[in-house]
Amino acid sequence: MGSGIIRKINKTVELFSTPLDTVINWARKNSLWPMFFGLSCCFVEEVTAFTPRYDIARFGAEVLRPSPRQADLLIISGTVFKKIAPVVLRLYEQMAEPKWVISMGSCANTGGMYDVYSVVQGVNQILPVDVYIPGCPPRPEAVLQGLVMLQEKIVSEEKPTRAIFHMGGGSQGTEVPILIDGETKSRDPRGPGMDSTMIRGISVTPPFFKESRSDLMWSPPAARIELNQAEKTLSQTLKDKFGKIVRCSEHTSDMLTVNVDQDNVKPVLNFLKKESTPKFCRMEDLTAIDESARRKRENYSDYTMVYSLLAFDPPTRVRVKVPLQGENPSMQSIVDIWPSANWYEREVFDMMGIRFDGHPNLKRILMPHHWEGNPLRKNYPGRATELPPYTLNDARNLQPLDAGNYVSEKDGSQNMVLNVGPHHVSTHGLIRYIVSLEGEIITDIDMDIGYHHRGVEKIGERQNWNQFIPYTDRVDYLAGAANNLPYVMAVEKLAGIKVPDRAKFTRVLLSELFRLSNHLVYFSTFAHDVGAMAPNFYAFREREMLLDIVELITGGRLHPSWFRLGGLQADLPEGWKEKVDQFVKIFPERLKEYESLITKNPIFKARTKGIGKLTLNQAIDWGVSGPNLRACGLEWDLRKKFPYSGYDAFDFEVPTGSEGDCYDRYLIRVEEMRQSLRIIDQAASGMPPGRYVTDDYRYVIPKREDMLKDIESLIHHFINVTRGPKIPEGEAYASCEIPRGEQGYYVVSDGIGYAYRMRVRAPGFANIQVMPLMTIGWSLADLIAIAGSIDYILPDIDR
Amino acid sequence: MVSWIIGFGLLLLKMAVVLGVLLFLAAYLVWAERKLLARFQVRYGPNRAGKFGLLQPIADGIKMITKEDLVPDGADRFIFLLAPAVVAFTALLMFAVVPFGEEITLFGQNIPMVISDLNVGLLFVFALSSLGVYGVALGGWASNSKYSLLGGIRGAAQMISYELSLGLSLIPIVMIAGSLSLVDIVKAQQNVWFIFVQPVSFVIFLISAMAESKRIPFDIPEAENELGAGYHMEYSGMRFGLFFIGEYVHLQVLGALTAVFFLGGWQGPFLPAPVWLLIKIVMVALVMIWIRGTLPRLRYDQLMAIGWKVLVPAALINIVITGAVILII
Repeated sequence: MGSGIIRKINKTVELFSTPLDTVINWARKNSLWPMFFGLSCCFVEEVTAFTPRYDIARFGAEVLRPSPRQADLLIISGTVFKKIAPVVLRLYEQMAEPKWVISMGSCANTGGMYDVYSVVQGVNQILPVDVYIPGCPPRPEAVLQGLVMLQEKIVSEEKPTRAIFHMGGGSQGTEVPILIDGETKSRDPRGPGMDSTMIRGISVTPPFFKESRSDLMWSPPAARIELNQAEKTLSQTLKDKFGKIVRCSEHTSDMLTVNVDQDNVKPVLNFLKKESTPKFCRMEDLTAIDESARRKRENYSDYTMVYSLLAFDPPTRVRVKVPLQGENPSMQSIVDIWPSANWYEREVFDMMGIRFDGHPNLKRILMPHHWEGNPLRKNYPGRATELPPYTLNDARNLQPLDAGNYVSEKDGSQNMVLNVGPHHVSTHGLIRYIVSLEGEIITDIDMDIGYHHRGVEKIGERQNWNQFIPYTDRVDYLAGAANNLPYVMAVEKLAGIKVPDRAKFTRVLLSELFRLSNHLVYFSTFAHDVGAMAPNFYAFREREMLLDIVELITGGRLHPSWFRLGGLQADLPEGWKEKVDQFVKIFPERLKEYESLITKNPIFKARTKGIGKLTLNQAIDWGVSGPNLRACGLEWDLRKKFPYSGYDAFDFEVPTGSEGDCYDRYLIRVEEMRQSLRIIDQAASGMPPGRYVTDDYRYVIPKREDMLKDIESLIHHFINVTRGPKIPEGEAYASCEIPRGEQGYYVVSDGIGYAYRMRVRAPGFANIQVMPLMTIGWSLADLIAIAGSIDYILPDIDR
Repeated sequence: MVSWIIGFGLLLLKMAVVLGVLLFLAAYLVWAERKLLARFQVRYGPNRAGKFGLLQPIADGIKMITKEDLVPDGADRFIFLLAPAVVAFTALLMFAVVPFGEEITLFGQNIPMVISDLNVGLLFVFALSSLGVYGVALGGWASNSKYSLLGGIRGAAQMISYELSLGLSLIPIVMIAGSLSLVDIVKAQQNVWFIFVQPVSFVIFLISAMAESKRIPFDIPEAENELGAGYHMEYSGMRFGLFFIGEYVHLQVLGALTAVFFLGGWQGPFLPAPVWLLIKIVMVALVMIWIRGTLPRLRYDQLMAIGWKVLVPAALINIVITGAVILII
């Protein structure tokens, strides 16, 4: 009897389930609300799909939900880092059924070009994935395509009725199994099907690269510069004052380099900051080199600490190198000389295992707290595929440290400790602010970074000099080609490669196009941070025009990877000038329109004027650079002070502020857009004729026509493409004014086709370290505004 | 007895019609908002679900109803489940006193075109509006999430503050109309709309109303950039949908109140009375959508400062001046 009734009910449901399935599936496919979730570069293209040209709203999917509870769709847009994977998994688990997952971009699909210790090789190891979108990053159209494919999957495969009525059976949401690295998916970084072929360049950098034939090749020694008068005087002063302690390098490719013993480094640095002329007010960079894999091992100590200092007046740089001995050496902390050294020393401790005595808070900064080993040591494996597989269990267990470990709780205080991040709508990427709140006022703040650590510096030691260029694009993923410039300039400096004028001008053109496009994103996201939704859509419309130009010239959008050693990848194509001229004509009007919407808006002013002030002294002490430094009132722009790539031929102004508050930081960016436009106009109208790449083919990839014609070029082409050019032993530092500040590359070569050490001096790392100075005493809402006004980007902070 | 039954039947009918119109309008206000915002932002907006995306609200509704209803661990289950209903319920109830036309006579029966013409209609509206705060505050508190809690606290503080200026801004209206009944207030505007008599009141009322409805520039309890989804962070499926519906019904209520207090309620030439009211409601709602598409968001303390230091004093002065003018005339 009972079973009869159940059978009847089942029959009824069966009868209605097909039409019900149809209706429910139709509703669901038209109402796929994505979560406001992004990991890296891909997210920029994902949000671009929401903007005018693409308009994902047409499919009813524009309702970005910041809460996982209300979202239906998780688009994994970007690199899944081991440090963030537990958070991704948790967000997924917090979503209500039914839920779907789209994996967007090569990194999320397979790890992509980041086969490196800190990256999970595909999100499908921890989450089930419905649709994969290929690309690096996929274009916005591909996001739409992915969405449509998911819609088709829902309509054609799912039978939700039985599941909804809890009757057993039926199907809804994601149901594919997750994959297990090494069992159900290939561990080969090149994908399946390469079973017996050895991986090139495996086994971490032993003292000698076994197959390297670089030694058989001759190349001239590293370029050598003449020191200028100021540097000579300084070098003499140092000799007079410190005697034998300080040894200036005879041979330098870029700046005055002095070697100091471990015990005497503090007095020397102190002197350089406070007494010398000029005064080296900024500690530009602090890093270390593991010398254990040098080919001429006997010439080097075990480690070398490298301090780069910068003086503003006259603009001078100096490098202080300190040899260290022993397996786990330690040295004096210089936090008391430059407060900014705090994070830098933590980074060296984290990545190299060098200890700093007297450091107030020496603990890991980039790698998660449970990490073992120091990734930048030469004996540490670089590839994720050489490490044990990352599993679902890891993602469950290796949770980030609890917030209570970061901010100090005064006795008996009842403050609320709040995690803003690592994943939050307005953190502009994966960064975690741990704030202690009294009401809504921030009484203490700490930051946990490293969620976006892509191990670029380690990758730089395994990719050959040309292969590394695409990685530079992704260091600051909104600045595109502007990122290539400091890298190629550093290598060109070291090897003494001359760049033709046309290439220089084109590099300027591209860099400024990207500065403009970056500032447009800044404008829109900053406005969004204080609650205005419309500017996003307007600014992205013009950004598309810019990216069209970039695409016409380079073939890429976000990551053109277009600069090459000695020049460019190709010449400017036909029709580029018309496009640029058209943009130059249209843009000023549009900018005026945006300004009238935001700049004078009283609410916007109330939210930004006087908020998050930074004094000039603080900014200098902490190594803040770029528009944020200029907002404090210092007229300092590398394009003017250390003119590079022909910037001295251009007529433009450097806007400065006076207050150092959010509003000033905003105004400077707006003015910089105008100035960039001037430069673009000048570059376009004054583009010199000539070669786009140098004709000295020793280190560069020859023009294709030449390669096909003469044997000399063919040989250079073959060697420089396969093995990589043999860049002479030495070191060089080059720094550029990219949109976000001063980004520098410190490249160390051991005389082979790969860098021995690739150091990226990132503007964001320094800019973000001052957050506590700006935010304590302000409210939670101000934190968001301040973070937005600083304009940082995570791969640049964490690298 | 018969007339009682007929009266009751008519009441039910009126309620059904009002409820139906309200919910329908709420759904299509969401659609209108998405379409309009899209047009403001040089986009198209939903256009795949039905012609012009007209079926979009239906798709969203079905999706939300068939979605899992999550209650987070550690949430206060009973209050958590109740809170969204409070928001939607109080917003809907407010419409009980909104008149949508002159009394009509049908089959010898006088039928007032209002569900209930309370003589304390205005107070009733405020009472319910205050109750609505509970939905936000308790929802935020019961979720056991820090972001929800912050949203809930912000919501409570904001709505209580702005209730004050909202109420004070209407006192001059009551003084002029001489009644708290919404029907009488509309009738008092037969010759001239109160927006022309009391422009200051109107501005204060509109600003406070926007704050009451928690929309940009006053969407502080759910400030997306700071708190994620704010007080409804932990709600999924149709419970989240109820908050949504509540918000859009609230929008209509405020439109209706603006119409009743300042725009002459149902009065207007040619068209039937309810249509006029509807037009006015929609106009106010569209203005609010427009504002949402344009302005940034205030900070929590700035919002409070505007409420307490600008709107409340201005409303008080307005009362004094109105009183003086009435005395003199």
